[in-house]
Amino acid sequence: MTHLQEEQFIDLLLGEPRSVTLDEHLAKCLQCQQQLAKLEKGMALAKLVEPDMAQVKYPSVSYGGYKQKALKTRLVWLAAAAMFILSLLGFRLESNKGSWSVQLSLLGKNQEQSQQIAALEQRLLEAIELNNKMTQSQLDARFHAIYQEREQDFGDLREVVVREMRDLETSNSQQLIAVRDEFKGDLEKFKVEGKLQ
Amino acid sequence: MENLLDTELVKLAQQGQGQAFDILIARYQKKVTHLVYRYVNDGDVALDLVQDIFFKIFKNLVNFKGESKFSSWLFRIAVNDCVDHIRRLKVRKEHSLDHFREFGFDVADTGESSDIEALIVNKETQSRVRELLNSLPENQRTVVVMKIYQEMKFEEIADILGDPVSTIKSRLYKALNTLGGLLRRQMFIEGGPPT
Repeated sequence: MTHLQEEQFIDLLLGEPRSVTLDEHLAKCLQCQQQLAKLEKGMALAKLVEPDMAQVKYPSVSYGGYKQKALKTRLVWLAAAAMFILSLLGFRLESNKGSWSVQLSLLGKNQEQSQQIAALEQRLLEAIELNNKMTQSQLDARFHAIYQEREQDFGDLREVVVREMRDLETSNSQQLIAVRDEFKGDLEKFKVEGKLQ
Repeated sequence: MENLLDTELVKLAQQGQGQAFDILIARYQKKVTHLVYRYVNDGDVALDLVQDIFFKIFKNLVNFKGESKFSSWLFRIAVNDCVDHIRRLKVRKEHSLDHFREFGFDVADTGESSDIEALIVNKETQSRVRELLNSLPENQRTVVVMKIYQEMKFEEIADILGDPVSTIKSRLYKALNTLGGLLRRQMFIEGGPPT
């Protein structure tokens, strides 16, 4: 026979109904005897540290008491639910120098909300205006830069053109002088040859 | 009315008869209180827990359909509340088996020993055994409380916990094996090896 199983050990330990073969095996098997002894010690320890029942306190339990408790619990929940709903409707709890009061402030709350919305709208408009100003300022700066760049370019171009014109005029003048001098030379030559009177 | 069966009293209580509820509670109050006290080992905590358990019974009795025995249902709620309480306190974390190993205990140790009574007289040892018992897995500890302390039948425990009898016995075996292993090591440390 194989060694005893966990359940069989428990049956032996607690004197539960069991097969005769278990006892026969136990009588012969030293290993199972040692294991059973270990379990017996475990049970003895568990029993010896069993809580002292003299310390037990018994509660007072009754249908009436519980019914009252349940009612109180329900009332607390109902009150909490009512408070929540009222707060959603605009009621609110307010304190006045040490005393608390529940006030209907639905209208006041609406007015306050309208004021808050108006203030928010105003802030939004200011933000848009500021944004526009910033945008305009940036655009102006950009255009100014472009104008300056264009002015610079025009200035440069004008200088180039003027310089070119001067060069051209100088060149023309020189050519005209050359042509005049050539005419003069030809005229003198014709006079000498008698072709002109 | 006191001679009525549980099932009859439950029906009457469900119809709103307070006296039937009171009789039912009186029938099981002592057993439940003992179970809870043995589980938590604290009179005040047990008192609060038992109050909560019976209030839970009061609130949920109308939903009890009689699919199991009333006593099984009641004890199942009690055990679950005890386990929840222990979990909340994180007892297993605070008193883990590692804690014992730090003190030189070896829970897996095996061997012979003698004179359990002499050893247990030592209060420190008692405290450590109690801590080890508390550090057992909840399902093992539950079976120790229900079987060793409450002396309930295996079939009854199985019915309450919803597990087979073989599983219950296996859990008890593991719990006692762990406790038995502690003893041998403790004696060796404090008094030398047994002769």
